[in-house]
Amino acid sequence: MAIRFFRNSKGVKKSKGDITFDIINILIMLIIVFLVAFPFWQMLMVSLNDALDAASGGIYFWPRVFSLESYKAVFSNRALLPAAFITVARTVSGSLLSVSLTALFAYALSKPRLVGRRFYSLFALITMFFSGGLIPYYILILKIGFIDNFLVYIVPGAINVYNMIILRTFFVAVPNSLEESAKIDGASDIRILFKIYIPLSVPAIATVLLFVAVTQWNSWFDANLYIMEKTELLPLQAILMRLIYQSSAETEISRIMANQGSDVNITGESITMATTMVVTLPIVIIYPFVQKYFVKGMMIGSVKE
Amino acid sequence: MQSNPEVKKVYTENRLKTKLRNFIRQWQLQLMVVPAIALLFIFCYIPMGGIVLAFKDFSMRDGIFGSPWAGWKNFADFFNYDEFGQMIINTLGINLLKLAFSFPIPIIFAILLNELVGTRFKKLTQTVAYLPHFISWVVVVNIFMNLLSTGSTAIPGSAGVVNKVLMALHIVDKPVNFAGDGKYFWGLMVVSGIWKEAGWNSIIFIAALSTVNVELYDAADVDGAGRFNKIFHITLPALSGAITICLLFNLSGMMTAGFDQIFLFQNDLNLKNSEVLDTYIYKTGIVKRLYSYSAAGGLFQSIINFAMLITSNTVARKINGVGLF
Repeated sequence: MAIRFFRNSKGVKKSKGDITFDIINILIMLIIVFLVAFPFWQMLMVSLNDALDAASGGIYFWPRVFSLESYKAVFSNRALLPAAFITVARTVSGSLLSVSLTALFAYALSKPRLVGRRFYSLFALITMFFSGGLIPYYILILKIGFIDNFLVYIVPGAINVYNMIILRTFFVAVPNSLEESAKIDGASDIRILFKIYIPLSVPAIATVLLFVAVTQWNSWFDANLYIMEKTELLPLQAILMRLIYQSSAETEISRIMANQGSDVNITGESITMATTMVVTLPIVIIYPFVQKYFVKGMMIGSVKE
Repeated sequence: MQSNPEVKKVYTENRLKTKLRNFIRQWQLQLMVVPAIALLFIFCYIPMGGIVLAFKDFSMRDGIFGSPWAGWKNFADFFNYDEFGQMIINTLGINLLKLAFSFPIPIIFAILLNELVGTRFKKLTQTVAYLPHFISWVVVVNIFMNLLSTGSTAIPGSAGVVNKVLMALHIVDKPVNFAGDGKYFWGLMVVSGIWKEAGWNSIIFIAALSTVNVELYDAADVDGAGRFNKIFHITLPALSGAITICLLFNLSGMMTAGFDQIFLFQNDLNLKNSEVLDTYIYKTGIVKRLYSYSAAGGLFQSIINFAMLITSNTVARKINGVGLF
């Protein structure tokens, strides 16, 4: 990783001020990287540490007394498996539903010849800036029977206007000539969309897919609001939230002690940390691989606007 | 052209006929629009109609149409609530602090990143900086509580990293109760908000900077411009469009303080400084089921936000020529 310290990209020698600036810049970036990465790392280390020993603090970069006890306890939590299933199910079905419906909408809106285009556009745009508020929305969900219903996770939020705009911008940028020659060959609108536009828009679609998937994975509040009795419909984040805020960690510990006897080595803290890691690590691991796709898509989407 | 009413009538009729013909010809496109419009109508516009709840004395039994009208009573009750003023102060306080601190940081980060030497390192920093955006607030709050913990007095040295560092540097002599003491709450919102979103928010600025013509910088070099000169005269102006749009988005959300973050950091100890409109509306509406009362608060929020949006958009248009619409 060669860094040109003393000459700039044109090969000209840099001034002292410039070099100082560069060095300080690099230091600042290093500090930022540390500030972001360290909290995760530390939590991981503490979760891999024996629970009672961890309570005395002082664990920063490496576990003092390595132990997988907390993780064993987490995986024995009977609520975890259904929750993992729910989280994966809503992420996959929610993303697919949202991206397909939003892409269809965006494609149609990208065609100037669409009758009613301005109306549809305005219709969508207004929803970005004005809403009825939480209570009317909640009552609506109640009235259509989406309480304690898995569909509440994926149907109401399926159309995201912000994402639609990103996709529409992308579709508009595709040269008209492609569509024209396809029309001459007698292709229908749907055919053109699937055979021409979609293959060309993979970065944008991947970006939107990623946005929606991450939102689905991290959702907890809708579960809190709309799931009253069917706790098997709770996703991972909601389970985690209950561990931290509703002290269901204590209940867990009692349950484990009842099963394994009271010399078990876990605390509410350690369960919470281990669960946090279990819930977060999939994202942290997948993320670097997906990152290059969406950055490209984001850039193109935001620059045009 | 004659403004003969006969001519006009035929002209309009022909326009409509053409529109209808095109509409039928493009039936596939029109079909594509249907699910989106239907969903938006059901889940966005029907709730907008639910605004009437704020003007009624709603009860589940009577339903929306059967509940009696209450005029402005719900609003009066809401505004007369003892802590109403404090909630507004908290909401605005947090948002203004965020505007002052969290708003510039993504911009500065984008500029510094733009100046950074070494492409591999640049990519690494970007990857790391965007990461917290992908973590849920539940996890982020957990991480912060862990870092800021005061530990237990029975076990010395059990405090979280931040307190340990503060004590080691002799800035304080015992752990600071960041989570429990209300006076740190606003600052905590700003710092945790920055940690989570600053990297992500900088993407739009990085994108804007990537469109700047490199030759501008070269020309500036020839003219003998130093680093800061180049930043002020080339980099910043290139960002002005993106900055305006972001500013408008922020201003149009002044009455909304962000539910997830606040709700998760709130507790009984810091409630005085942490109760904002969003959390109060949730508690009274969903938990206490005071539907009409809460709906009035929600409508108040929406209207103020909307008014701010229109105002700041108009002002931005006048000054910059750029606006959201």
